[in-house]
Amino acid sequence: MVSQAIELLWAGIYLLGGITLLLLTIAVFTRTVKKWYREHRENKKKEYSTILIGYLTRNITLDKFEIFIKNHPDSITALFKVSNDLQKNLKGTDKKLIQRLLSLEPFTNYYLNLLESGKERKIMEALIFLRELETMTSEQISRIQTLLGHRERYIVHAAAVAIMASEDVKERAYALKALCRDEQITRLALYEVLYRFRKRDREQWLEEGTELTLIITDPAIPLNHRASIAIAMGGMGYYYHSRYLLDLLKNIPVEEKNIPFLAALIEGLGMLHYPEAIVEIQRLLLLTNSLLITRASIRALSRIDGKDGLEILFQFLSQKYDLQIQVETAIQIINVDVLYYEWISDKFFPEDANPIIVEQIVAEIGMDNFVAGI
Amino acid sequence: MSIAISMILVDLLTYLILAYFVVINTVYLVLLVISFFATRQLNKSREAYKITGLFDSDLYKSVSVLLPVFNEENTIKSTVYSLIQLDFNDFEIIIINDGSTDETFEVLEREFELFPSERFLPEILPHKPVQGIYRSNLFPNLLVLDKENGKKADALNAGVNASRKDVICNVDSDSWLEPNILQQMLRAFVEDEKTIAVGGIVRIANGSIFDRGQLKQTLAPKTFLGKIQVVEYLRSFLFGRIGWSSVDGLIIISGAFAVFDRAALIETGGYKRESIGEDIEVIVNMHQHFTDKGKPYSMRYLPEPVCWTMVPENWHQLSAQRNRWQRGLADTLFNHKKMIGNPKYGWLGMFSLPFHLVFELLGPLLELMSYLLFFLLMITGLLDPAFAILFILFAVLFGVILSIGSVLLDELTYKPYTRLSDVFSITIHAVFENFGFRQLHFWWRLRGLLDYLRKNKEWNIEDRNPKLTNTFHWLWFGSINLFFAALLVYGLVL
Repeated sequence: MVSQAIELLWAGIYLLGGITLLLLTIAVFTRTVKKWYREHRENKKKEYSTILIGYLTRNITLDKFEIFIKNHPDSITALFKVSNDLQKNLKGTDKKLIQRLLSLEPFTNYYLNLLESGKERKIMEALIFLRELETMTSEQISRIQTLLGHRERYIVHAAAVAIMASEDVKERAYALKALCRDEQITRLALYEVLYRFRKRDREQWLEEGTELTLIITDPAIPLNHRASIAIAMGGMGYYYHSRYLLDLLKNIPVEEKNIPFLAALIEGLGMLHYPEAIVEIQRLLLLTNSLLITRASIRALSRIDGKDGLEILFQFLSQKYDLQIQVETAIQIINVDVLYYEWISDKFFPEDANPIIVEQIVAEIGMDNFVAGI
Repeated sequence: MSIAISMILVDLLTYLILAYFVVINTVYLVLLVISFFATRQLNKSREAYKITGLFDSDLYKSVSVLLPVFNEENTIKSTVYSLIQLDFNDFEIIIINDGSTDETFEVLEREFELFPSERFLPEILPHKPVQGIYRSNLFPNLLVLDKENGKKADALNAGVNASRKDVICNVDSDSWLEPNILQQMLRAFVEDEKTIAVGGIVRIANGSIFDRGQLKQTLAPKTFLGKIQVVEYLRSFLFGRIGWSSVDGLIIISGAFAVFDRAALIETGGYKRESIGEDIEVIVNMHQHFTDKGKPYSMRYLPEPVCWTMVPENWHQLSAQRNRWQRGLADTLFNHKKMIGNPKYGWLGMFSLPFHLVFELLGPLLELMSYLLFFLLMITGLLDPAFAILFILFAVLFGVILSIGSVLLDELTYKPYTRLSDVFSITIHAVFENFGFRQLHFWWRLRGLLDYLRKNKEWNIEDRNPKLTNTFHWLWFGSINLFFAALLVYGLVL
């Protein structure tokens, strides 16, 4: 019995010893390969940086560069990394020169072919390249669009980000909509795409806003994403669509399932500093006790310029509200633009306001000779 | 008759100990494999969720970094400078001076030109009175709360109350954060809407070179205890926590660096002021709260955000720290006993918590029994010496595999040791750890458990004679190694 156990233990020790040696070998091998790769990359980086500087100083023409890439196809990935690092610190003509370089056919073809490799790592590599391009052709866009239905969420997100380089608002809106269909995409991930959706081009501004309003009224899109877009429309300054957002706020029935969307509309209108929203916010506050609506209203009222909004805001200091609401209100009042402090008088404070909170607000906003009305 | 019963008992105990050994090592091995794949997956999708444009808008989550300090006059300056250099658009640093009796506050006041502020401090979470709130003349995003001593959890609650941002990031005063750590941790919120808590890898700063709070070179610690702890930390973070987080069984996010959704933290009542291990308690409490309320949530560990921390390099401080950790674990498991084995809490209730109860909390008792049994069987001649030696060798090799697996995982993650000699040194310590240190660690944990049962709730149990403790530990460590050497010689002679 003991001898059998000993034999078994010996077998186990040999096995574990073997695994230990294997793991050690892999660890050393990985480190050595990584070190070699790092050094190789550094050398290439130095080499390509010199060529790139030559290109930026007009000593090397774009044609010559193209020939170089065609003759050295293995240089593409390293060259992209160096160019990309460089362009992050460049502006104006130099940045445009780098963009022109990255748009060369050998570059784009190499990465577009990676999109069809079927391997997630390679697809990601291609998308990282493509999202750095400032402009893309419709043919390139359509090849990326095929990834909007990929099973991996991170690839869909990266594809949508890449498509945001398109000059065509409809193409961008299509990608955004495709992304929105996935209920699990987070608000922040959506915001990142939305941020890129917005081009700093006045001519596109209206069209972009209209596309966004189409998405937020599309019943096929999950309500949480429609709400996120409503907030982002405010955050990204689609002022011309304030009226449209307000009309939505007026017309959507105050039902439990619509509350997050209504709160988002209030938030968005607040970010747009839209004074006409005050009456509607007041109406909704009377219709519902929803915490979401109350909180969104507090933030919106503190942003919207106007005495009327501030007067309503102060009512949330009443002790009939939850302490958290009182605190949030106090913080928003403190954050109100200093210019509006002169409007605020002791009459703003409700009679049953928490004296400690009132005292702290008065102290923090530094109102000289102010006597709180409590 | 009584001999027969004794033999049956011995047999039963032997099987129990063998089962303990098999289960604990299998679980660790499985966690190692899970972590390997989870880390690969996270690395693959890392670039996809790299947030860039969002930071140019007002739509991202803003962060309050909370730094509770108590008698840190020597290190406070460099810690605060490392925080000021964080690369993030909208963050504030809130230092909570928890009734320091040294010059901590005066150092802060001089270095950062503090002046009194009327900052609104709502009483949302309970804490000891704050005597003053100060702002910095040099850094507008720096706030200092000067309060009565109430321990770490109390100080953190005050910080949460003072915070006006979406996310809370807690940092220890002897820790340094990588400049882009906040951007990296935000990834968890970008990937999953339900994220309420995020942890990152905590790595050992001892030995590495820092300049004004910024890491210049990653080097292994110089001392034996430092190196042993590197092995422990790699194991604990790279496969322990990432593995548990992958199966929704995470019960702790290190207090050295933890990120929380502020609203979620407030909703769960913040930090329990009477808890011994506030970092473990807050996580298990959040699990319980959100499950009970039926609200979906997620807690994550990411391999990339790195926090560097100093670890004790002498026996008496290390033993006190481990004693506290064990008491903290006991306290939390006791407070949340209804979750253990409760299917309502999913993997956490059915597997993670029972595992932590049996193997991490009560493990020292079983280990004590195994050592006693070992000696008993050796003395009575019932244990074959060759078997004993081979079994110890087998156990050591198993532990070594897990440790080397972590070293390997480290190669896949961020900023591994730059010198190959450091990797070798750490690997060798992964072997040495099993002789002497492991047994001492078992002893500290056992004492921690006993101290908890004696209702000792002190943060750190005062060591009246640190020199004697250090000498005693070295002696014990030497004796254990001598015993193993003797056993090996005996085995070889046989």
